[in-house]
Amino acid sequence: MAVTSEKAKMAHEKYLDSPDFQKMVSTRNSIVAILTVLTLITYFGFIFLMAYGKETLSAKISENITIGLPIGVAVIVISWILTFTYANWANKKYDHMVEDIKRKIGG
Amino acid sequence: MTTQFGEPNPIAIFFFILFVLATLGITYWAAKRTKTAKDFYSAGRSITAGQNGMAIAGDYMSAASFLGIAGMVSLSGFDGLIYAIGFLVGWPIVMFLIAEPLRNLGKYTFSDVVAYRLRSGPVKTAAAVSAVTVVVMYLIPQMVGAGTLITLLLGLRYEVAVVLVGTLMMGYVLFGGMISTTWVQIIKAGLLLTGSTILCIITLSKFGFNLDQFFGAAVQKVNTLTNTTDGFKMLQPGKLLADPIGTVSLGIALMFGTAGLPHILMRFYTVPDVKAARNSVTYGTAWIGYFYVLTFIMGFGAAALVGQDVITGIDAKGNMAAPLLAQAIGGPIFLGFISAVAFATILAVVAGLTLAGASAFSHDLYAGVFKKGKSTEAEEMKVAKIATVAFGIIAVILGMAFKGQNVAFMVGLAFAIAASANFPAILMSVFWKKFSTSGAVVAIWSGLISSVILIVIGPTVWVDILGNAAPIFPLGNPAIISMPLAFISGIVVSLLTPEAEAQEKYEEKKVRLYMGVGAEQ
Repeated sequence: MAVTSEKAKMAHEKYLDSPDFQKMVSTRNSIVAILTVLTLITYFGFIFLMAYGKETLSAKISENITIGLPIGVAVIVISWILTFTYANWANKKYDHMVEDIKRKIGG
Repeated sequence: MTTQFGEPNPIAIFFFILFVLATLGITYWAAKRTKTAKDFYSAGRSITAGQNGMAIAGDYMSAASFLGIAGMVSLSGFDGLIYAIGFLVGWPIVMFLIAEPLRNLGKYTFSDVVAYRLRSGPVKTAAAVSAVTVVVMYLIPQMVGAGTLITLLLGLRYEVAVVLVGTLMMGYVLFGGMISTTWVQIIKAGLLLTGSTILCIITLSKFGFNLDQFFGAAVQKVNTLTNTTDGFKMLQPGKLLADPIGTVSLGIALMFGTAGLPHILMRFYTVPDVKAARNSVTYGTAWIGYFYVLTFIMGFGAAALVGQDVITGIDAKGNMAAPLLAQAIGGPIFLGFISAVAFATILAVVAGLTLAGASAFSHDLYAGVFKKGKSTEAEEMKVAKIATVAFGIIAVILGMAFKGQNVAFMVGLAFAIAASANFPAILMSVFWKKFSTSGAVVAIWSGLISSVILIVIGPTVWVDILGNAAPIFPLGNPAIISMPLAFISGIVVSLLTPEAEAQEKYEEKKVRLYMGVGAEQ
């Protein structure tokens, strides 16, 4: 297990040394990092608002509805949109990058 | 208002028998297709993204969310939203950080991924212990909930109900493995989403679909019952959130715990490739998000149409709010249907848990650690089936042992352990080159042990259950301490014990991680 066959080693090193592969990895990692931070801001922003912004969330937008209700639903919707954004990018862009690199470098 | 709770409801029993017959039929069909380990653990990787999205929803929407959150909203209004949202926001995290690496690097369980470039023995042992702990903590409240629920809704004795649930789930998993578990999840998700949607539409129709009137009715009802003007507090953040640090800690557990639940993570191996894995998260998240909006409507609907006095009269924590609402708007027929749905919900979740628990034994401990990967498939399958039976029996025994106990804290504990022991180890193994075997082992054990100890000396166990005057640890959920502890200890120990081989393999497997080259087919 420790020693990989020379051929296999060559194959994975060809990928690792390729600028296309490196660019793809850093693009994916950046997108994942940005979306993760946005998710954290959305959720913990909401928690901090609940803990410290009671007045803000209690503001009425109609006789019996406070602004907190649509904000809460918005957190759910935003979470889904962020999830969808990633899947959409991966389906449309990332998979093509993977295929391109596979074609260029080969197995 | 009179209720028929605690008496046998013929309609509930009818729907319940229908569900059991349908799922047993599926299990018979699935059993003929379950031949290899790949079939048993991962449904032959033949599940589509749409099916898996539905099954993810079925696995995740437990009785705790259907009954618990609706109940919490019916009694404390707005504050219940923090749970509804907390259970959802773990899903983007699963999508961005976990689902794809898991599918590309692993085979059947999450410990495959923690151990993929580390020394298998110690890492898989720690991961399996943590997985089994999470599964058992999650399983106990489901079994106790099943017993209580069936006693209330179908009029069966508690013990009979627990044995029934244990036998059925064992049957699904033992004979139909992941194929029948998946289809039980899908059917349950369909029933739960349909039932909840109908319940919400009828409820809102009583107010002409005018949301202002709807919330106003809940406020009025509370005002009338309490003879105060406190009703409006239902629409504001309240005392549940008096402690901001505790709230953040709970938030951390809910968010990152989702990304560490063994039975959920297993689902990503049931699809053919990484693309299907990612798309199944999109579908699953949509269903789950929609469902949590419905629980919120059901909670307020119960507060408006049933009344908090009746809800707490049946169950102090409000767990029967949704079935009571069904009875209030649709009589015994609708109550029967919703009761059967609640029962199906529990059955599907316990089946998924049993499969995950059995896999930790057979795939991680037996095949991975004990036989060092050299066992035959037939041997591993045999152990998996023995472990399934053992899990079923243990679940029934635990369900009886914890009868009448306050076990609600265990779901919180399961999430805290998953967030502290499983999530940091998976994340560091996938994204941090210098992560070492010792670092992984220390991260898992420290996350596991610290979260269990802090829960025991915290307010829920130390004060509420053991009856001490004051807690030693002030927070109800330990994740704000235990998760960073797992990360820090994992990082420090990895830096102290550099592992050249693990770093080399990390580079080697990068192509597999990012491009799926060589991923399990």
